[in-house]
Amino acid sequence: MVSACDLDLQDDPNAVTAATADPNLVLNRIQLDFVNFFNTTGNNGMRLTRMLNQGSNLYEQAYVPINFNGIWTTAYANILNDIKFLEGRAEPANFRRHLGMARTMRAYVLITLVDYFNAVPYSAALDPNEFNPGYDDPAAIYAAALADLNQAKQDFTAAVSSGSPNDFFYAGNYANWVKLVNSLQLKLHLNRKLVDAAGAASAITALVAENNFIEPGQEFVFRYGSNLTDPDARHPRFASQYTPGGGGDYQSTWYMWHLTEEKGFDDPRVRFYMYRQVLANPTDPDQLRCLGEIAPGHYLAGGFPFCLPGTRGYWGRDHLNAEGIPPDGLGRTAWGVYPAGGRFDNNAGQSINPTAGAGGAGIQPIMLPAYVDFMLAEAYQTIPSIKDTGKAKELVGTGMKKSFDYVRAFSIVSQAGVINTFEPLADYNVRVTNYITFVNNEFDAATDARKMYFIGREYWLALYGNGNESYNLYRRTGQPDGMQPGLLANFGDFPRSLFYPNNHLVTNNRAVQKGSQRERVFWDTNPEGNDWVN
Amino acid sequence: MRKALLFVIALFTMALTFEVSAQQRVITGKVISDEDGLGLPGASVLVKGTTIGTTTDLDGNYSISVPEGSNVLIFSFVGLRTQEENIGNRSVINIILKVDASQLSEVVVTAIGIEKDKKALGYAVSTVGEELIQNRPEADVSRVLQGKVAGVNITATNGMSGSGTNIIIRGYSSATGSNQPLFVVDGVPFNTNTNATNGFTTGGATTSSRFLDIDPNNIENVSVLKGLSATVLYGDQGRNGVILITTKSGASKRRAAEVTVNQSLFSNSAASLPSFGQLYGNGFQQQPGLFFSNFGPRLDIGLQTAHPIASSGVANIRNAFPEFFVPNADGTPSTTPIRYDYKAYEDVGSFFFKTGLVSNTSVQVAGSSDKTGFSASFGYTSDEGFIPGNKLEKFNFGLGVNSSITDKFSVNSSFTFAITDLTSPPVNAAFGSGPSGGVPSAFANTLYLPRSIDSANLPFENPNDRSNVGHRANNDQVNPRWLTRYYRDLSTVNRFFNSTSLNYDFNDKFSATYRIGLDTYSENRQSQYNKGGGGGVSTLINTGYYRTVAISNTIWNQDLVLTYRTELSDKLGFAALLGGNSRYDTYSQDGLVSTGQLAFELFRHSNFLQASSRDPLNNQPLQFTEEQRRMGIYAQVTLDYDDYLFLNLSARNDWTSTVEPENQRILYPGASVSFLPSQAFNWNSSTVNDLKLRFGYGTSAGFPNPYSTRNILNQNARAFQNTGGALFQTQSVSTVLGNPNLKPELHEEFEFGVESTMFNNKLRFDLSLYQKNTRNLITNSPIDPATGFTSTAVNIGRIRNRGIEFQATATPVSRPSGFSWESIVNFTLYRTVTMELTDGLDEIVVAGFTDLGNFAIPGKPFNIIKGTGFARDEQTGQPIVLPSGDYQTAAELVELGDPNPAFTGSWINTFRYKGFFFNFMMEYRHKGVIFSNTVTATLARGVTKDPVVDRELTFILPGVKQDGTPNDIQVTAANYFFNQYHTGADESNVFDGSAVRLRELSLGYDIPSSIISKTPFKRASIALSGTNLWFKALNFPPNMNFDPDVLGTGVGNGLGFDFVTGPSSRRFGGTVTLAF
Repeated sequence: MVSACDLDLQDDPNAVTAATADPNLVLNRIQLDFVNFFNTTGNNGMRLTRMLNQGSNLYEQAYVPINFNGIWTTAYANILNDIKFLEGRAEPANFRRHLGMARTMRAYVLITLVDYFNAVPYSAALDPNEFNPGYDDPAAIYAAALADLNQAKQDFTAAVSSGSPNDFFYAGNYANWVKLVNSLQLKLHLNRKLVDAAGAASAITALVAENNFIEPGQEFVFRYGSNLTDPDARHPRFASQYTPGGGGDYQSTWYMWHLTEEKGFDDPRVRFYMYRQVLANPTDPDQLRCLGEIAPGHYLAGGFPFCLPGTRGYWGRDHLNAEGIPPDGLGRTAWGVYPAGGRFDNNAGQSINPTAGAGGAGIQPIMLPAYVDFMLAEAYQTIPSIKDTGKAKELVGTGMKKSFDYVRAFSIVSQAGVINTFEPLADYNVRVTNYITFVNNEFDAATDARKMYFIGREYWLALYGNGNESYNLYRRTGQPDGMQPGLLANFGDFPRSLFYPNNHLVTNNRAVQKGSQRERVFWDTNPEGNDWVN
Repeated sequence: MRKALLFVIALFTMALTFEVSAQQRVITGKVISDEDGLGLPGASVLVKGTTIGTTTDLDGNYSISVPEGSNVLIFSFVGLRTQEENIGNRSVINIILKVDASQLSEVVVTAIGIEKDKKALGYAVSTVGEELIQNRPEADVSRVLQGKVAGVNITATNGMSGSGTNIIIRGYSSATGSNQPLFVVDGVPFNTNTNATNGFTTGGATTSSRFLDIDPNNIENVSVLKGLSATVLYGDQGRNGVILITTKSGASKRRAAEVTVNQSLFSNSAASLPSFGQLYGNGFQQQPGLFFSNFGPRLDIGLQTAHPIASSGVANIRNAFPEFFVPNADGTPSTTPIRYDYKAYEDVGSFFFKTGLVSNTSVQVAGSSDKTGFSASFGYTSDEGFIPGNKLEKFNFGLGVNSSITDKFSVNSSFTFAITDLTSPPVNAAFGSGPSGGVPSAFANTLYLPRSIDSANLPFENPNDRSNVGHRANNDQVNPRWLTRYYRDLSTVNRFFNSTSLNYDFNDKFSATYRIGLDTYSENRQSQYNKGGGGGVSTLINTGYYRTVAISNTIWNQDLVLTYRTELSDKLGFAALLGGNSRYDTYSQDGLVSTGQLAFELFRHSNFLQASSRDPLNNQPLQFTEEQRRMGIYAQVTLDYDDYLFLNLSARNDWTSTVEPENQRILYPGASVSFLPSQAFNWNSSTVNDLKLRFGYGTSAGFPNPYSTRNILNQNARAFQNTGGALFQTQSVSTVLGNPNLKPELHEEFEFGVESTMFNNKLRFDLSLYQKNTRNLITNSPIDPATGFTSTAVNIGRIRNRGIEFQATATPVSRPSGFSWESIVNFTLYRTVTMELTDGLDEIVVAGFTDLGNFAIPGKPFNIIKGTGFARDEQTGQPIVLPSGDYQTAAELVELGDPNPAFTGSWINTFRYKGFFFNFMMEYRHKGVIFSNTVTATLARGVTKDPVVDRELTFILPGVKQDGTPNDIQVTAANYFFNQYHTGADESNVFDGSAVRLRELSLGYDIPSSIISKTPFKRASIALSGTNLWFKALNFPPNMNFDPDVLGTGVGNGLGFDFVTGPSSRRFGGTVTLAF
């Protein structure tokens, strides 16, 4: 009565199967998901380091486990699992370049997972027969990431390799990938400096000797497009803010204050970073409630800017502000041209819209030559065995210069006319030089213990768009310290690591939630609690 | 079939003669069946107090001699209500006998269309006759059944015309599988899917359910098989209960030649709008301003503000309306807005919500010859919704033919064709501040339109480019007047349905039936969203969005059934059935989405910049096909002993295609016993007329959705486009892990019941107790993404479901004058508990969101709602208030309550007097929590009528401060309502869903035959009726008028959520019925 073939309907006729999969297209997905991972992890780091506004009253309200489901899924179920699938296809086919790119990205993902969560599943992960993978020692995961980076280097330099992958980052320039790998190794070793100062120092010294880091023109960035629909290829910050009604992220009062008021003159980058829709501060408390309020006592006591930094329409929010959203979508300060692909602020004072500026063709600044210089500066300033304050100062200077140059060079691609008209390159460079001189003087004038503050502050100001490095920097060095506190006097524990996500906790019987977000990641041996960072 | 048997009996009894004496009066007349209006052969006519009697002839005529001194005749017929009639001085007495629902001798339709005596059933079957279905204001048969069947929970997704409806029989038995019952129309499966192409957060919350294509006026009766014991023969398809519908086209009954015409006209209005305030206007903290909220100053203080449209932040809007600016000296407009009176304007409840007109025309034509009967029907429904742009139009054609080709061979075939056209503005989930994901919703920003802005009369459209004009500075609300004009979802369904059965009686013991069913429909959907919606929708939709989707669904179903019955001895009867079934389902869908509209109001894909076969709103491909096949053999054996003990054994073996070959076969046994002590022990009691005890056991299984056993890769042909315009494609291992070992889930149910008729049939009740267990629960189980996958379908866990159903029908008053009162009480109680989930799994999200949804948690009621709650003081359990005066939200999700009602009940009363009847139906729902964002959208926004509180005062939230001391922080009304109900924890928005409701009310009059006989008509009646005329949610905040009959998560397993899903509907009108 029943013939087997009548019931043979288990293959999904609508989908690609493993047999028909294409490694090139899988690698494309890995790259795009990797960029998404960078964006969503960095979002936390940016908000925690006051690079962007932080909503909620308390850190405990802002950083609940469910918020991290997306990161966990993107990391494991998308990127790492696709890399595992790709390895199974690419190794037999000797697709070494595919493998090199995939392993570099895997190393970055593993490092970042540890940096945010500390111990995470690794050796037992990605096994469909093991639904309850346990945690690995985070130091071992760092070691695995380092091994991946070393392996990737060989993949990029192997003489014989088949296939030619699409490369969103370097368009197939594998020498650049090798430079990136070295730069990522620098990042990894610098993070380890507190738990293995000697090892970090020797590794960093070796990397410096090899002298093969990314240089200007070799920025490891993902470049978005400007297509609005199907696919929406725009920078996600642009896409959520440059809408017909505005809205989107609030900028951070503290960060904008540093870019405009703190030094007594404007950071040359502020018009690239921030786009003001209005050129003067609002006066209507309906649009900005804090106008009618007095700063909290601990703000007054600490001398922190409150509500608005200055008078020129830099309109964002203070740290840990839980207010609802008034009709200020076409008033608040928006992301500028760098890195979100928005509009250059040439004092137009106009409303944002979906086609403004670069139309969303922004970048994710994942690793820049400037960052390398700042990391090296930190290494020379803080690792005793290689301490060299002179080198540190020099590297802060080159780091700043590379940042100023890149911010403008990137932006000029989309808005050359507007930018050059507003401020020709020569004028910009004058301001850049003045800025660097100013910081060098500050650096020189500071005590040795205080010099790291200036390295940290300038690195932080160069990191706009990259929360991963700023969060690591802040925990690793405690700098730049003295950040604007939350609006409530008691705003909770600064997350030294994130709670494990909800989708891991409720599904895995080996999952154990942290006692609190005071728990530090393995490389963070700095003092516990908000006295170190807050 | 029953009639055929009785006809034989009639022939036999007519041969008997009764003694007749000469001086007696002779009374003649005709006994007519109320069911079909035909003469009733074989009815008995008895002179009261004597043994004198006769039976009617083939046409129902009788003649009887009544002795002197006798003045009452008793007319009776098996299954019909016995009637006594005073003779008076009449010599002709015609009488109509009505169906007596209060006797256990009732014949009911059971699985596979087998008719059985109710007393022989060991399980519960509820029937609903056409009188409770016809001429109702609702075009959706499932809504008509609301409250009428104990054990069946029916919830509308909202009150819009054509919106979907959720049906759950006897609670939930599957966590992530469907819990919707099987619809069987005229013996073959009828697809009732809700083919939502979008989730409830991307515009699919109220997608129509396809029982909408059934014409309620063409329904002869409905049988509901609730337990697994009743549905064993349907195999896995019957696991959620079966609703058996017999249409007039499909009924085998012959009818008198007659044409019946019904015309109904109803009004349709929104039943659950909040009462809007008149005292306070747009603003916040008692200050005026262009907020969503209405916490501004009083409206009666003569305040003026800048004209809202002139205050727009959008230059295009300001420039389009120079009339709202103070003119310069030369007449040109300045940049100074004119002043605008800050006062109470017409509220949205009156200028936007309107009264729709619902009209239904139905024509039934029936006739028969001695061998062949036919029934034809036509129905037209035009159902206007209560908001602009919502209209349902249906055309239903039905034709049924039954014919005895030879004495042994008969054919019965029914055809229906339905065209269902639905137009509706989009409805999408909203959380009190715009629609979810920027996908438009007619209700998202509508309820809290500010009181101080004249939304009824201000322009809503930019005259230059026809784009939306809202009152807010950012233009970030889609004006509902613009939305209902320029955003629309359309669907057109063309549906053909046929059921044909061939019967052959080999002899009087053995017969065979072959039945083939074809149910096929095409559903064409369009979403037409013009460009220019502004900031209230996503940027993508703002460019103009056009989606066309073509769905086609076909079910081929075949059954071959052999039946055999014999008498093994005097007392022992035996019947057996053996059948085979094959069912093949295909679903295919194709579609295109375009974005970037060129010319306004032109919806052709060629009028858009980009077109793709993938919906950019959810990145899902629009083209896919799904097929599944199941085959089964089934058998049933029935033994009856002396008409008081019945034993029924049944089993079905199924093979299905949705799992790997080793798991494809499964056997389901079932058994039931029915015992009638009243007959066994010959109780001749007028207190207990009949008593039946029954016990049933049944099993079933649930198969997974197709394609759950193998891994796939997701592909995206348009994953990224760089600045150079190059497109990039991607493939990615699906995050859903295929499970080759997936097995069907197993359901098992025990049920016990008592049925009785008492007090001379004045009270009848039917009580069922059941327990249903699901093992090997198939769950779309979330797994730790660290495994490389986020979910997989696995067999894990158990659900236990216990319940009580009770139905009582009483006739407390039945006077010879013709006055009668019949009262029916339905009571439903179920408790579904998640018993266990596999190791390591603490919970599963059944519906909703991971941070606010229905959860399955071991030991907890199934579907328990979890969401964000208040942080509570460890010592006192009091909520903690932050220094800001607002509650602190707890870091972990908390349980917010059980959305399952503790019990539900209904009370249906019918009064009859002469030709008049009056009927009302009340419903009560006890407990069951509801999370409501309509509260967020009205109470938190301050638009509901005062006094909720004196909002010029300050408030102190109950609770403790962070240091544990009692809270003494004062907050404003704006903070109190907005921060708690809107930005605060979900816990504030959960309310007890207890509600009492007047579901139906009708008043009718059957014009008496004395008048009708002078007209060309045979019958005529007129009725006024209404649905949902009054309700009250007992524990909702004041002035919300919230109706808990709403389902924000759409048709599915979700329960207890309102995501500003829209009000319910109230309908009132009248029907005229004429027969000739």
